[in-house]
Amino acid sequence: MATKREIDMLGLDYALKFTAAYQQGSKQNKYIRETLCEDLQFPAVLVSPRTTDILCGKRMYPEVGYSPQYGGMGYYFDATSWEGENAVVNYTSDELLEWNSLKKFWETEATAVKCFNSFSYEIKNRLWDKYDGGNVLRHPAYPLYRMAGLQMDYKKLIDNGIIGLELEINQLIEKAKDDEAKMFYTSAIKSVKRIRTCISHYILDAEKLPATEKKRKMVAALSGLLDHAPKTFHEGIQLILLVQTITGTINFGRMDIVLGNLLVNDLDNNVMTWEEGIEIMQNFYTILEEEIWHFDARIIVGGLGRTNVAAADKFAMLAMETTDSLSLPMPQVSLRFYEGQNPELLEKAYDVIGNGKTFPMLYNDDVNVSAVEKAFHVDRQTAEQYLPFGCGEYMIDKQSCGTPNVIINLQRCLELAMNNGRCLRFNDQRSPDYGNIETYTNIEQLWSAYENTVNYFLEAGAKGQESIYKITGQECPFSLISVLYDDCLAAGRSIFDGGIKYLGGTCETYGNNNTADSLTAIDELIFKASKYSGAELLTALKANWEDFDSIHKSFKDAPKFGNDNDIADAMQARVHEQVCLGTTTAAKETSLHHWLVVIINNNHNTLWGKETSASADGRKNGEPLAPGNSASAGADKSGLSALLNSQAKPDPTIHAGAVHNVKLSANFPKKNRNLYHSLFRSYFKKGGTQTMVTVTSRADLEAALETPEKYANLLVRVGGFSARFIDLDKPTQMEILSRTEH
Amino acid sequence: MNGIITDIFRTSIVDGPGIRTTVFLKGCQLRCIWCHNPETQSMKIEKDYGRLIDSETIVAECVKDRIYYDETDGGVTLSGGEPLMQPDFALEILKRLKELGIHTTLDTTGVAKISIYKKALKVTDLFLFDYKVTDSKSHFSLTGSRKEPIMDTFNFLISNNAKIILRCPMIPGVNDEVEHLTTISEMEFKYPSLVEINILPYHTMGNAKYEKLGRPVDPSLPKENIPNKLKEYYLSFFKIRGNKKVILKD
Ligand code: SF4
Repeated sequence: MATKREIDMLGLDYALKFTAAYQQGSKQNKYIRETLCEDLQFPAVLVSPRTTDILCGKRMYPEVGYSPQYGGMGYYFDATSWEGENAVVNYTSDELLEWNSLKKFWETEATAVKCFNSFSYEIKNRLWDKYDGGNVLRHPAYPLYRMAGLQMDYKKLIDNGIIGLELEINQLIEKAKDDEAKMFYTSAIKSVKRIRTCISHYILDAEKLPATEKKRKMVAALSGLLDHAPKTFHEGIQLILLVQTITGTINFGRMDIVLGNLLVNDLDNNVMTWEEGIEIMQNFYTILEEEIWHFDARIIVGGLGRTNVAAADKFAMLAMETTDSLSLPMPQVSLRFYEGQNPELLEKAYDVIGNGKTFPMLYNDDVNVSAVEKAFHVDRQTAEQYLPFGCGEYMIDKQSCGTPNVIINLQRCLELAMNNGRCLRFNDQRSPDYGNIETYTNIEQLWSAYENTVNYFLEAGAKGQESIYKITGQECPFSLISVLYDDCLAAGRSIFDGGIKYLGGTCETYGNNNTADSLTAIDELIFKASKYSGAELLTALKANWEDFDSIHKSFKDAPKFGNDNDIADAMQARVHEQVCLGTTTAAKETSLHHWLVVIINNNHNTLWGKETSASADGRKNGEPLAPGNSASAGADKSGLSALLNSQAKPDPTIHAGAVHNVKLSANFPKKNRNLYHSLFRSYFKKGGTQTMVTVTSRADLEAALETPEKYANLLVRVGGFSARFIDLDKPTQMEILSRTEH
Repeated sequence: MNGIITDIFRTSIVDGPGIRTTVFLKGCQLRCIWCHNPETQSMKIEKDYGRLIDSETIVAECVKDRIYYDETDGGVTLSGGEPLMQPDFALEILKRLKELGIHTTLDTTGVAKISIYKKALKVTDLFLFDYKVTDSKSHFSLTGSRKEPIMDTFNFLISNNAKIILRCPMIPGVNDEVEHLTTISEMEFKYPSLVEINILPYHTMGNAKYEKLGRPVDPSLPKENIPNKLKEYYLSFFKIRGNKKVILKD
């Protein structure tokens, strides 16, 4: 897990200085302000290496700081830790006064606050509360504030090194087209020099470690980087880790393309053995596991659009072998593959998954590349550079920003559409009154109310996303990120101020399949069979199905997504299409290049389940929503192929990624290796886009609840991330247990 | 044609080769005390178990996984119960599948009439044939059925060159005497055309169904799944006797 922010990480003094730098910079311009603040952050926030390390690159996010996402978006001030019950440090009343005045200052100056304040009354009304990290999720849709879906051009970084980047920017300064460009370049060159400062800082830090072979290698790699573009694998990965740490961008993209050549060169020339390569990677993985939230740290290997295929494959094997050698929920290694790719990669992937490592996740390029081409409106060559980011949202490598900045709960929308825009549990108005199920006489009337409700929130979401980008562009140049993003230097503009090539985004949808199953059940039982009335259903739902056993059973037994059932799957396709097209349509009136649905999942399906009333698919209030594009818990009863067939159906060309969880019993891959490979091969042939597999047994999960200490290595896929089962909270553990084991 | 089933289970890997769809038909003449599918014994539709379904609907469901069968040399298995308790229905499904070029397997107790097996031979690629108890008397008391007609069926199938996997449920302390094990071992050599002999160790997974049906679990059955030690004993028993086709399943 990530570094915990604790009070007094860098102290009141630091917070005061940072704030003063911000204030001073604000009097001039955003570039100078960023430089002043970043010069304070670095190297101050860097964390020293340990004796066991061979790489350095760790940082803190103190109470006040600057980053694209971690800590808070842009300039942030986070007082949650020192307001809590467990104050770590006792401040004097004077000091507390100072903290409080800082807090007051940042209450209007933090970038996220400025974003929210920029929303029109209409957006604020529809997206209602400010998102509080998921503690309270009463509303059907929320804006999020983060610029996390950023994948920088590490190839450019490695090929040019610090020196090369400095050279490029220095030449540009001379010919800057206007003042804005000049200010940006000046800030950019300083951001690159800051990498040098950090390296020098780390060399001094490393010198303090006891003399070991690891330390010698560490210092050598760091020193090399001051002098030249990376010449060895060790230098390359060190530079990437460091720049990632400084920028706070937390994902790694196509590392096989970036590091493959250095790896092969080292192996061929006996600079490094395979085992030494594994050792470096293990240290890299361990650092990521300690540093980065488990939704992130993606490493992508394989796939179309690589020019150095053989060398890249070598790195892919190294990455997967490292995953296999450890039992960590991080990093999220993902394998892209296509017909004709070196089969060893996929074979290796199946073996590692079969060993219960939950990685790599598999992405089928034969389907995904053309899907991305259509969804993102880009040419094929560009589409080949798609990346599953974080929990699974696609973005275009170094050309777009993928982060979802809106989340929406479709099942809540259906709830409102059935009940005059009012919540079933508290009867509070959350959307316009489009009607009530008691008066609908056919499914189309319900559908139209549902569609209106969803669109009501989507429209605000698209405008919200546009507004967030606009304010971020005004406030935060993110100069170093801009240096490593296509088009920014050429345009003389920072990333969100006209620099980025495709300024688009994504919208996270939840409860898609509960919604579809609910609509199916309603259509079958109320409108087609007239077995129950809309009023009866509403009463049962309001009672959370308590004392309505027979009607509950009927709705539970109605056809469900995940069984290759034509009726249920057709409704699922309709729900899918509506929200995907509704999302793109909502963005038509904005300047966004694309705005697309992602059907991913962190643990919001569990969190939102608590706030979502009982639903017509048989779910009770409190029970989780179906994760991503998976079947609802236990609803997939017809066998694995039926689930996979259902999952392969939704149109992949209208969204930016969907995750599919599959839980396999440990016996399947172990004892039936070939069948298991063939099964997935067939699924992908059928058009499956992606899969992520947890290999475990119910017995193990239950035992881990009893004696967690014995199951530290038990990894499970939650939704868009992996975790040690024993680290999850109880509701999430129960949600995993409730999934069908195939 | 309509029939009664309990379930269509897709992606089965335990009912014959490759990835299969298994259709569980309702109805069985036997009453094995260890039966792990008690819900299939009665021909009637019960509260939680059983539905009327058209054979074409079943075939349509089976066809959906053709790509998986092709990739793994799999197909469809009719199981139960005893599928041939609904002979016309079962034969119709098998026939339709054969016409579609899908591999068919029939999981059978051997208790139906020879005339029905004659028809089944034409539409069945592989038989999973149960061999439960060696001693005739015990056979009757443990399964509620005589052994002799079952062996007649077996011999009929063998003499007609049917492909057969022999399936032997093994219940510790109930039917796993040395005499029974020895007979199983000898069958491999006596009937060289047998494809495989599967030993199916007893497990308690069926108990939940008894509870749902409101029926007691036979008290003479083991309370736990078969321990690994015992599995090893079975394995070594057959290994010493030179058996090559005996496979212990999970
Ligand atoms: S033959 Fe099979 S289905 Fe019939 S009672 Fe015996 S075990 Fe149960």
